[in-house]
This record gives sequence, structure tokens and C-alpha cells, in this order.
Amino acid sequence: MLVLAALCAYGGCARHLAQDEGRIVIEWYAPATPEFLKLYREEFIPEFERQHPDIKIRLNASLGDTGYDAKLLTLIAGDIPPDVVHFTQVDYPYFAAKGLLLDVEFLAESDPSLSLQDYFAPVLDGMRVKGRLYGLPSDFSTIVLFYNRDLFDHANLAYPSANWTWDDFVRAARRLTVDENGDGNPEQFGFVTQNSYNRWPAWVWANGGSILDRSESRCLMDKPAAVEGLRFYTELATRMHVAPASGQGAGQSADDLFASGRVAMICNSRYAYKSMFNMIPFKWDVAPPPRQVRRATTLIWGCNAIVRTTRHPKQSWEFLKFLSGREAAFANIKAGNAIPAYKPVALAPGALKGPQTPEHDSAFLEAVAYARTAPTPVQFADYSEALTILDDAFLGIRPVEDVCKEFTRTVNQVLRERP
Amino acid sequence: MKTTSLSRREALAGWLFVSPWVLGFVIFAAGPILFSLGLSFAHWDAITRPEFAGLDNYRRLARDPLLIKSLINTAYYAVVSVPMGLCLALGLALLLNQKLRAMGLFRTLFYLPSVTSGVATMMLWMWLFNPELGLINRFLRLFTKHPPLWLSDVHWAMPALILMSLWGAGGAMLIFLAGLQNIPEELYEASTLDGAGSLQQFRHVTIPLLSPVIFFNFVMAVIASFQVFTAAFIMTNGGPSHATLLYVLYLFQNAFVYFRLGYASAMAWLLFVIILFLTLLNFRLSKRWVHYG
Repeated sequence: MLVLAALCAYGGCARHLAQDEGRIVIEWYAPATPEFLKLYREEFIPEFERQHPDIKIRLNASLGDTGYDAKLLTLIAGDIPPDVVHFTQVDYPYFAAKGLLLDVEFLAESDPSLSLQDYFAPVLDGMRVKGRLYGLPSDFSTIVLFYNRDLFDHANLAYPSANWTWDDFVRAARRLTVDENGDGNPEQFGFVTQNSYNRWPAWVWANGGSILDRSESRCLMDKPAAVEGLRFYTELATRMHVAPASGQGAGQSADDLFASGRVAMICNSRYAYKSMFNMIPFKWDVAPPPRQVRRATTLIWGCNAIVRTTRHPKQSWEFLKFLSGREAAFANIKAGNAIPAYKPVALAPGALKGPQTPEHDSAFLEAVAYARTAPTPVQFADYSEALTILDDAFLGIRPVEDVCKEFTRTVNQVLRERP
Repeated sequence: MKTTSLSRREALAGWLFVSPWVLGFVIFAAGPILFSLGLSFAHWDAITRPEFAGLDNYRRLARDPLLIKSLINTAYYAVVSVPMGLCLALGLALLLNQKLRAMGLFRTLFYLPSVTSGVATMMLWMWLFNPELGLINRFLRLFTKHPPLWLSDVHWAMPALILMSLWGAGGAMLIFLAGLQNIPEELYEASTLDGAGSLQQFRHVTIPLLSPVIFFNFVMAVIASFQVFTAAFIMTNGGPSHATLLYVLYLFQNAFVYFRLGYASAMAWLLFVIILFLTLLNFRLSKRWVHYG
């Protein structure tokens, strides 16, 4: 009993001790992948604490995709929430819509040391929930087309150009799909499709379709342009066979398929650079994604937000600004963490260039003009469950129209519910 | 007077000995169990305050197509994997009950899979099931040009999980083995004198005397089969197209991916009722075939 009491007391104290040698402690909940930890521990935290001697940052790092949000929820339910949280476009909308995060729109407007003009507009747009901003973006990337130059050279094909349409793209993908032993199971594919909510929307948009209406109150995936967009994307694997169908990828992730030279093209973000630089033995480059009736692509990002119930909103805001500011932007570039959301650094000539960046690296920044965050309605948890309906289209076991109809019906139901 | 104080001291000792379990149960299990019963009548996302919802969650159970799907999947898994697993475990136990040299080594070898870490062996099985490079399909390609895609195929993913479940037959095997060794040698001698062959011995001596052990293993296997989670979570995440969406995986997704803790609690209590019903049914039916010597 004594031991238990002691443990409780220790845990309680350590948690609620918001002071450390007279400094105010800000707890920062952030992802614990090794490269991030290094960046946080060696760059962000020491530099911030040097600039703000009265604040101490305590890092609460957590691993895992599902585990990350589950642990955060447990901290909140247990009434010991962190002060500042790192989110991505996947989980941010849910927590923002739940009213958990501090509205920073007002803070940003009234703070002369910060201008929202300094941040990329499509990222801010993706972060606004019902018109309000609940965090500041730190880094982002558009999704563009990566291609294996060696395989294009080998097939005697011209590299993807900025004006590539879907037809040009399929023509090249066909030429790049090689079945040498004729067993119907190609050794090399032109492309790889991904059943991911932030990949396929680009193809629906490019075909002139929409997923949700502007107010995110109605699903438009049963409209012909949307159906045809998704059909084209899924049929690259299921009918045209220029991309590996389910089970044809040797269990490798899409990234690994590209890195091992088994697929010639992939749509990916600049976050992928980090692993590719060390791993890929062939020559590669990036290009804008192919267009159909319009140019379109998706956008992914990371941001930091303040938990509404924090006892130190002022200090948390200082930290938030720092994480999205100039020094952090340089540190992000150094760590190979895609593109800083802070424009003055990201757009400075040559700022992003490293010894290994490919020739047409500017494709990422050019794509900002037409990139959007994939829909993340405030009912994102239910929406992501509805997304599993699309599996049937990606597997090619049910007509795409039927899948789109069921998806639309279910999503409309989801959107009618409160978040 | 002395005896009562002795019995009192024994009772105290007894309570002391079971206290770690009792304390553990009261502190870590009883509270959450009651809490989840309460939650099952509420909407809760862990962020905002729980909101009383009456029978909403239970009504939703009846209307949720994925819940029905997960129940069917789980039943499929149980109906196939339990008998297969028990037959394999019994067969292995019979083999390992022979008097051969180095039997201890064989017993260890066959039990080993049951004590290896679940997630690690599942990664191993994912390689075995790999449609192109996996050992299983390399072998099958000797006979057919198009072996199953296993975990990537709607129809083969569940059989793959069931096949893999046989890997853990060692636990039941060990209990069977202990049961076999409890059968008195005289009975086999007597039946030999009566002219019984080994098949008849198996049918009329081994099975009846082993029936309490078979029953125990059967009940445990049925319960476990309704609680399978890790395999589907690690290897398929319920896919492709919900083909391996097992009940507990769907429960987990509701709780920790879609944050519907009230609904997940209702699912947990439905599972409790289902398992309780099946177990009572098993006990009922056991009167017909289990012999307690």
C-alpha cells in the first residue's frame, strides 16, 4: 500500500509540477521517429530554450500511427494533456473540430511578430476548420511524379514533361511494364497506385471531379467526372495492368517498389527524399503529375497546435511561433524534412537545394499553385471508416460506379452527423 | 478453540496468497469493467464529456453492416480453426507420447512456436505468405501456375490466418500430452488382452478417458478464437475489403481509430454475452460426451 501511495504521489507530482527551477514547463507531444527526435533534441529545443530562458520544453515523444492519437487521447482523458501537440493533416482536423485546440487565428492577427502572409496559402486553407485556424504549419510537401531515369533511358522514352496528359502517362507506363518471361506477372511496372486518401483525390480533381462540396456537407463522388477519375486511377492496376495489382507487389510498400526499380513511376512527397537519398542506386528525377482536364495534386503537412486547456497559453504560443519560424525552417531543411511552411526561407533562391536534390526539384514548389489538402471533414474518424469502402474499387472486385455510389451514400450520412 | 484460530489463520494465509490476483483484479480490471458497462450507454470520444445515450449504442449494433460482417468472419475463423487446431494438437500429443529416444527434444521443438513472440512470428508468416517470393507459393508453383495470393486475396486471406493459427497448437498439445500420460497403462493392457487393435484402443480407451481434457481445450479454444486480434491487426488490418475484419479488431478500431468508446464498450459487452452463451452451451452439451472417470 505504501509503495502504491508513493508511486501515485510521485506520478502526480512529476506530472503536475509545471515549474522547473523557476522556469515554466511546456510539455510538447510529438512523434518519436529517430530522425525527428534528433531534430527536436539537438536543434529545436536547445535553441528555443536559449532564446527563452524562462521556459523549459519537456518532450513527450510517442511512436506509432494508431498509438500516437490513442496515447494523446489517453493523456487528455486522464486530465494531464500536453500543452503543445504536433499533428499532421490526418489527425489535426479531428482534434480541431472537437474543440480541443486553441483558436490561434486571433493570436496570429494581433501578434506583430508574425504574419500569416508568410505561410503557404494552400497549407493554411487545409488547416482552417470552419474558417478558423487552430495551429501553425511547420513543414509540408506537394505530391508530384517521381520517375526512374534509368528505366526511361532503357526504354528509349522521353522523360515526363510538364504538359503530360493521362494519355501520355499511360503510353509511357505501358512501355515501362515488362513481362520478360511471359508468365502474366510483369517483373517491372510503369507505375504504382496507392489506396491512400491523400493520393487518389488528385486524380478525381484532375478529371474535373470533386470529392466533397465546398462546405463539406455533401459528397460528390457519384458524379461522372469523379467516378471516371477514380476509375482511371484504380484501373491502372486492375484493368490496364501497368501498375501492380493487389498481391503483385511482392509485399513491398509502394516506396520500396520504386526504390528497388520494380516500378518506373510513383506519386510521392518530398518527405520521401530522406530515405531515397541513401537507398537508391539509379538516377531519378521528379516532374509535375500528369494532367487531364486540369492540373491537380494533393498536399500533406505537419503543424503544431496548442491544447485549449493549457495553463500557459502565452509561452505555448511563443513555442508555436518558434516551431514555424525562421530558425526551425532552416533546421527542417537541414534534416531533410520536406519544405518549410515558412515562405521567406522556403522561397529563398537555392534554399532547398542539397547535394542530392534532383534536377527538377522545383516541381514541388510549382505544384503549390494547384495543390490542395485531401478532404478531411470534421467527422474525419467516420469519414476514414467510409474510405475502406473504396477497397473494392482498388481490388477491382466491384464496378467503380457501385463503389462510388455506396461511398457517396455513406459519406453523406457521416456528414449529416455532428463531429 | 485452537482449531478455529488455526482455520482462521489458514483462511488468512489463503487470502494472502491470492491477494496479488485479487488486488490486481480489483485495481486494474474490476473498475474498467464497470466503467465500460456504464460507457456502453453513452457516447464518448475521450475528449469531451461522456454523454448519456440510452440504448443508442446497442441499437447501432443491430444496424451496423460491418459488425455483422465481423461476426460472420469471426464465426468462420472459429468454426474452421478450432477443430483443425485441436486435431493437430491431439495428433502431435499422440506422437510425442511415444517412448522414443530424445523425446524431450521433440516435445520442446513442437512447443517452441507457442512461446515465441506473436508479432515476430507474424512478420515471419507474412514472408511465408508473400505471393511472389514466399516459401509457400514457391512450393505451390511446382503444381500450379497461379497459386493463391493469400493475404492479398479476398477469398484466401482468412484461410491464411487460419493456417497460421495452427502454429500455436503447442499449448493445447502440452495439455493433451499431460492428459494422455494420466491414462492408466493397465487399461491398454486389458484391452490388448481382449483383442483390441490400436484404432479400437484409441476409440474406446483414449478418447473417453481424455474427454475432460478435450473438453477443457475445446472451451478454451472457442473462447480464444473469438478474441483473436493480433494476427489480423498486424498482417491484414482487416483487409482486403474487410475479409479479415475480426470482431475484436473492429472493436479496437472503433475505440482507438474512430474514437467511439461508447460503441466499442457495447461491442465488448456483446462479445461477453456471446462467449458466455457459447461456453454455457458447451458445458450443457458436454454432459453427452465427457466422462469423468
